[in-house]
Amino acid sequence: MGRKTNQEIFEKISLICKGLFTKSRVRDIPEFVVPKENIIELEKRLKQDGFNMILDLFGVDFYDNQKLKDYAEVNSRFAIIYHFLKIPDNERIRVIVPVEDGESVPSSCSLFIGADWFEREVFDLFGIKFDGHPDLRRIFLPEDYEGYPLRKDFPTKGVKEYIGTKYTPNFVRLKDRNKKHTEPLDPFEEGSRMVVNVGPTHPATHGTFRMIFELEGEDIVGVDLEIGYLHRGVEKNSENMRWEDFIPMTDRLNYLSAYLNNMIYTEMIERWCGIWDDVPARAKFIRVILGELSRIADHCVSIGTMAVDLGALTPFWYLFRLREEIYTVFEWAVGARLTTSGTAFGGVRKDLDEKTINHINYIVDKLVPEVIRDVDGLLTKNRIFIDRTRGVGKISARDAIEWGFTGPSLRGSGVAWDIRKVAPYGLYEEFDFDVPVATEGDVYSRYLVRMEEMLQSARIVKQALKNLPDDGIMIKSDKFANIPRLPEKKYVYTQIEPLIHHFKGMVEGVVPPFGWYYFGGEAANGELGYFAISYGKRTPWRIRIRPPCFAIYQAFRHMVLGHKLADFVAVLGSINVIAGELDR
Amino acid sequence: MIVGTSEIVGLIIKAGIVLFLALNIVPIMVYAERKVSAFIQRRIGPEKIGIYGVIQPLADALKFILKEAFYPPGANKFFYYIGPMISVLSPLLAFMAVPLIPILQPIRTELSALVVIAFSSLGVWGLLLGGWSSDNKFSLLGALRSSSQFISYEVSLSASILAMLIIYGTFDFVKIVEMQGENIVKWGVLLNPLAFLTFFISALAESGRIPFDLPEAEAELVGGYHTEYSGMKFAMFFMGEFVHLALTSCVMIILFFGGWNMPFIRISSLLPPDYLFTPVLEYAIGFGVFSAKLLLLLGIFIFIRWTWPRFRFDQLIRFGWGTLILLSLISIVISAIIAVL
Amino acid sequence: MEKIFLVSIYFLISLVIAVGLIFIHYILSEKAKQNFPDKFLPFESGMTPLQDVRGRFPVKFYVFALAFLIFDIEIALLLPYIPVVRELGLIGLVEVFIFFGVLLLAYIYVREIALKERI
Repeated sequence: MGRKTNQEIFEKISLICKGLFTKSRVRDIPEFVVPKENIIELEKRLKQDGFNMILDLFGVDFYDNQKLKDYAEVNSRFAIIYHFLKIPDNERIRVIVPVEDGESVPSSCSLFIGADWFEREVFDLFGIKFDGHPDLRRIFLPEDYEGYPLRKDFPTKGVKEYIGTKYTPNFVRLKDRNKKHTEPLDPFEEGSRMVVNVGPTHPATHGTFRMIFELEGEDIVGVDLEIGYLHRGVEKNSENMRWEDFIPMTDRLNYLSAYLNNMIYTEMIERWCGIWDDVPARAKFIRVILGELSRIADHCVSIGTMAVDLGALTPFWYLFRLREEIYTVFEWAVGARLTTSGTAFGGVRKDLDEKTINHINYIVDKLVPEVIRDVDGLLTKNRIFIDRTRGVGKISARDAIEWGFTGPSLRGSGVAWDIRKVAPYGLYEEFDFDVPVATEGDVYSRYLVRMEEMLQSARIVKQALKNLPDDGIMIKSDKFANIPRLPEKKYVYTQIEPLIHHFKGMVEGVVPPFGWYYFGGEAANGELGYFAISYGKRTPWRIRIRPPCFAIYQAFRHMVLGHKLADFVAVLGSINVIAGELDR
Repeated sequence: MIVGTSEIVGLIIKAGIVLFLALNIVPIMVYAERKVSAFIQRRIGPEKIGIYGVIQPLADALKFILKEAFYPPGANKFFYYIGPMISVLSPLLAFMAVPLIPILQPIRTELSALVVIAFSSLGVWGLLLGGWSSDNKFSLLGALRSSSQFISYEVSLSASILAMLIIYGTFDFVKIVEMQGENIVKWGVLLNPLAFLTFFISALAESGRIPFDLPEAEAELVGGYHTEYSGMKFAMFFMGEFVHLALTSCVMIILFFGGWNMPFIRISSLLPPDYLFTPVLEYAIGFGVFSAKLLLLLGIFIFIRWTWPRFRFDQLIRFGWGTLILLSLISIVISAIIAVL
Repeated sequence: MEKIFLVSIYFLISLVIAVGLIFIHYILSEKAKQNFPDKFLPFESGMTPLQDVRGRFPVKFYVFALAFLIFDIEIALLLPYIPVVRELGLIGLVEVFIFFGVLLLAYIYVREIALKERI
């Protein structure tokens, strides 16, 4: 396909950015250590070469861990890590910028606009300032909060009790954007802007986040967003739990499609520890089946709630009947309906029995086509629905890539990008499926993309069920010395070896090798990435979750400006913001 | 005495019956809506209380009456209470001239169409006052938008009614129904289908149901004009809406569908002419026919509500002013041509 | 004359019903108590309201009302035509056409100019 290997990318970038970086190497992807003075120049050259998306931007606190600092080849306490992505070719590089406490880094917002909220998050949780950022405020925590939680000297239970929600809005206004306002702003109406608060508790927001609108009559001329109502400090908590204990935390990110989150995390650990090839194929197939079912469930909710917000109250019920059946499958296959925690390192915990397989067959053969056909008949050609959604919330392909969109929102703008096809993981290359791409970039396109994706997911599940291999569900290799599968109790109580294994397994759990690793998979909303740092102990040093709808939601302000008040519900429903994933 | 006692007694009985029926449409509609919507959405609907859940509306009514009487402190007390009352009063008053069967018209008048148009237009006041007097930005915005919607579609509603009246040449509902008779070809819907179309759409818009229910769209402005109302006052807004719906359906049946005439069959030809109870039976059968048509029409309205999404405000206004008024005015011209030729 | 009397009786009955509903509600329900400090604030999605409501609101609603007035008067002016349609015959029809012609100009104005920017 002409894709470059990591080594080739590394050499090309080394040539282009000669003299800008101090250290460089190739680990899972090429890495460059760049002093903060050169970062803007580096980004310019990367952009010239074609790297068009800033995938992730986050901070790491090395505190006093010299071994990690040597691994990263930095000498400062903090490091800001950037992930860059070139969209059609899937070239990724990592840039590490060492920062000391109290220093500030030049902001990348002028070059990559999608760095906006990521830098605010680093400022919020680490206290590192960014020069030149248009709007550097805290994003999750209230304004007058003291302390920076993700630093290592900040205790997990907090410093002191804080009650309150101080927030002063900072609006993005219509004149800021280079969009032409079709009707001239009447000077008499300048002073008649009404501030409307679509707050955390509102029937339209599917989750707890807040939007503040400035309205002139019906038109939205100013927007501000406040998130962080569901911020539970998942990343901070991860530093005190074992690697397996983190799996239930991943459930609660995008809680509508929990299994996909589990699957991607487990696959990351398995690839990192090098046992991916030993995981039996049956386990991988089961993960794909259940993962695609949860993707269908996620799209059900997304489309159903968007239709309800627009007034079409019936498709919601049809789609939720489908979701109920999928919940039943999960209950039989994994044991829980919503927060599944279904995977384990090395395979899956429970096999699919006869009853479950028959039910899945019923769902993908009969139920999914029938429900999609009904909802299609109600919505797709309906004149009122098309009037409400065509041309609303339009975002062009170039803007979408700049903001950091991935997933159905990006495919709705015409960019053919799906990690399952571009860089197949989890045995997706064995299956024959299509990836729908729409061209307009408005709400209607995203709706069409999601509808078609449900059918394609059903197709994948059908193929997987037909060819389900038969080689066990858990890894048998002993390369993985800390055995994830605990020995049977009757041996634990009678023999010494299983007792030791059981003790070690329970207390220590899995310990990935020293260093770091990144893996991104296609979750329901886009690329869900996990970046984990291990320092050889039973708890991680840092786990970073790259949430797909974080990047998408920051563009919401610009998608909705200039439209009417009634349009924001359509746009919000189409980008499918899940508060659990947004805030972590 | 200006009027005889017998007339007053007759009025009170007729008024009692008509108002009782009009108010009882509300629980029937509530129950029908829940059952029909459940049927469309593949679920069951209320079934625990009573047989098949028929006592459900009574339970709802009790709940509304017993709810806490909340009153927002910044609100204008007089208008806050007047709003729902006007909303309920206006369609009830309009029922004074609507004949379900010829003897059941409380006030016997030749200007029944005028009375109905006049009184049903008053309903806008209720929600305008209610929305403004509750001290809430959302309510105000919702009240303004819904009143704009209502008055915009009021024009096409009146114009469609006018179109039909031109064809019949009289304001009197009883005469109009008698002119339609049992021959379907003479029914209003076939005499001027354009007027029927515009009337139907305007009636949908006037009643504030989906696809025109932006005023109450929960997703956007939470409650619209009734955000700050709770308990019976809130229920009265909805009662007013349902009774208004029943009113426009009755008017539709009278103008377009032949009123109490059974299609194809002349009722009086079925019954023996000298039998003592013939008029009673005739009226009873007429009443049954009228009710059947009314329930069918209400069922169609419910179906439409649960099938389609809703319009955005500017699309609504554009449609009302741009297309619908033009069509209704054209229908008047067509009616005039038909009537003269 | 007698009709007014009857109508007022009917009006009284309806009024009794409407007031009676509110009255029953007032008697049978408990008065709202201040259970928590935020109770009697106007609803704004869970936050304290950001602005005073008695500010300005857009003028386009007034324009809708004006336009409605024009067309409502026109409908009212057509009402006397109804009983005498057949009597006036063709001449009446021509007069109606002229009336509508003038009205069409008003309609075009309202649609294209008055409401174009307001919506």
